Amino acid sequence: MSTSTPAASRRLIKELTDFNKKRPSHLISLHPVDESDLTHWTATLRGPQDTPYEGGEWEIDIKIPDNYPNAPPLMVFVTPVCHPNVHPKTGEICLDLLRGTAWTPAYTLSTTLESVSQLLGHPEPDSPLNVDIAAVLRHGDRVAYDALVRVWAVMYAGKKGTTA
Amino acid sequence: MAATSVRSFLVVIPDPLIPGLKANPGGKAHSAKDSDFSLHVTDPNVVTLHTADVPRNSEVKGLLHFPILSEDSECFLKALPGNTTISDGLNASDFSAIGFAPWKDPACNKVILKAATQDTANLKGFLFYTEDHEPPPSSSNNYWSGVEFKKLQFPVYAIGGLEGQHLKNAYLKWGNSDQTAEDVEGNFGSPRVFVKIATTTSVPLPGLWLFLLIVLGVLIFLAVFTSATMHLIQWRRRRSLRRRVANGEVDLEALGIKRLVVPRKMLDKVPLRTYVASEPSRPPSPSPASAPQPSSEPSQPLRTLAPPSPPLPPAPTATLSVPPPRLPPNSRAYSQPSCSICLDDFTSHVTTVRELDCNHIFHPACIDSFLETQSSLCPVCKRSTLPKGYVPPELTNATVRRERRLRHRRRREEQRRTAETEGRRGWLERLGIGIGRGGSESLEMRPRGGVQGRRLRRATGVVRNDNGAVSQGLDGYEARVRGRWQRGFSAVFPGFR
Repeated sequence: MSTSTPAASRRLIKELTDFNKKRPSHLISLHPVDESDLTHWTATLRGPQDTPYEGGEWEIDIKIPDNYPNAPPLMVFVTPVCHPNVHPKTGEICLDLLRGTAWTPAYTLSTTLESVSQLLGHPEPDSPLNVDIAAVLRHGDRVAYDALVRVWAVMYAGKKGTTA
Repeated sequence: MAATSVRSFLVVIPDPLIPGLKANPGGKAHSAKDSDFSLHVTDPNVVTLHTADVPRNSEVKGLLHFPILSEDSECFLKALPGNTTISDGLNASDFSAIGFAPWKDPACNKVILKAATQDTANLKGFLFYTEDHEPPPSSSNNYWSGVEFKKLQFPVYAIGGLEGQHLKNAYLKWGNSDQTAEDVEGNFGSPRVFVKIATTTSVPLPGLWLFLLIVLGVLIFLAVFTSATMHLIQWRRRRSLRRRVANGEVDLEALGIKRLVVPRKMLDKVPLRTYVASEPSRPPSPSPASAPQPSSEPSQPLRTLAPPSPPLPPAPTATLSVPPPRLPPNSRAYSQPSCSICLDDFTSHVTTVRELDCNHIFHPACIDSFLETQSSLCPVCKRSTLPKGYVPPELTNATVRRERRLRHRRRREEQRRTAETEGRRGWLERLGIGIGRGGSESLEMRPRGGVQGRRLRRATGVVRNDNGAVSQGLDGYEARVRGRWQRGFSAVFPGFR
């Protein structure tokens, strides 16, 4: 078993059952990497609709801290994603929810991932981790931005190449 | 300059000799052969009474010479007892001379020095010797008072009585006689006592060192002054913030400036009750109208998804107003079916729950550890559990700084907005780029109005480093990036970043 406390483990198991009971639309999968270790999860995020990410699937690695749910889980994109608030190399996500400033235990892994999913649709170029794509967006070149995102999605996230 | 040593030995002056001793350009004075006289007095036994602008690191040297007093004068008799006549031939000669005399009573000292200034010998310096002190008292000693050295053209030194006697004897034996002596070269001539006084740079402090010392002192003073001023400023700012927090003008936690925790003492005041499900017939799900689901508002930028409205059961205020009559004591009916921290369901009539001011309920074990270690805000609705005006025990400079920055940013944004409504947009768009974090275009992507606190929290919680990458929250950032000496520096100079 992991180092997490019994309370945290119970909650994580409950989160897993809840997820399996009612699968939210933004997630394809969410489960521990290894059944015996509840501190390491993996999730597959569905590209939100009506965004250039639509059609792609992104894998996210989730590490549960010891004092979860008092501290936020650590989430990084494993699949490369082109987004101003996601580090192009490490996959680090710039989201206040994941930084402890806005986190509360009332969030679950599923709702947190929902926030990540919405981050894809609503980039914040003012606090970028990927300065290049943020610069494109800041200059208002939405067409170039969408195209870049789509290229990355096709290259890495299994999005079907379109003729559009 | 101060003397460090006095050396004395015999030299032999080549002819022509007395009378009218003249320097012989062809002949050169050499040390006397087979002389058993030599004297070497060093620093603590040599006292400088008057420097007379002798250049540093130089030597004051000359032949020993007793100043001519009228020979029947009382002082002369005191200085050179016995029927001595001064006939060293140095008067009106070209040879450098060092005057010498014993240090007597003030009246005689004056007479001797006066005689020295009027003496026709080429005096380069004067050497006193004490008759009763060994070693000589220091130059600041009262012993040397009574004589005005300042106006003298030549330096004045003093040595102890033993050396003085030695010197006097040598003078009387050779330096004042017309006998001949052989020098080391084998030439004959008149023996004379030669004295060489070496001076140094050390006392008092030479100019360069003094200058450096002054510069250093000024620097230290400036540093101390700046430090004190900054400490004072920071202290006043802390006090001001404390006052504003106490007055409820600033809500540190709602603004995201600082995470507060609830002390155990206050936590114990939050009521514990027995949970009773509100109505068995009603499904224990949240009423849809009571709280907006943030996730259902895609128009809001993402960061505002953060509480105050996580997708969890809202406070059942409606049911509270009409509690069922048959409840056990200290219990209430709640529509919130589970603890949103551990996600476990409550058991009606069994589970003890802690009810926060906002009527949200949790297992005491779950909420207590959260409130004591993480935050004072309700995990569900983010309402503070601390009383209004609660001042946290420690208000750090970092907190003060964050609050100030936030306030300034707010004011700027307000100015921007008022100016905007006045229809000066084009002008401000340029200004906005100048002062804001981003262009006005990006500012527009954020919502206006109500969610200001949350928006600003985002802005302050994220720090951009030089690479444009974003680091963790400010606390973590400071702890990691600031080295030990940087922290020390900010302890001395609070306010510098």
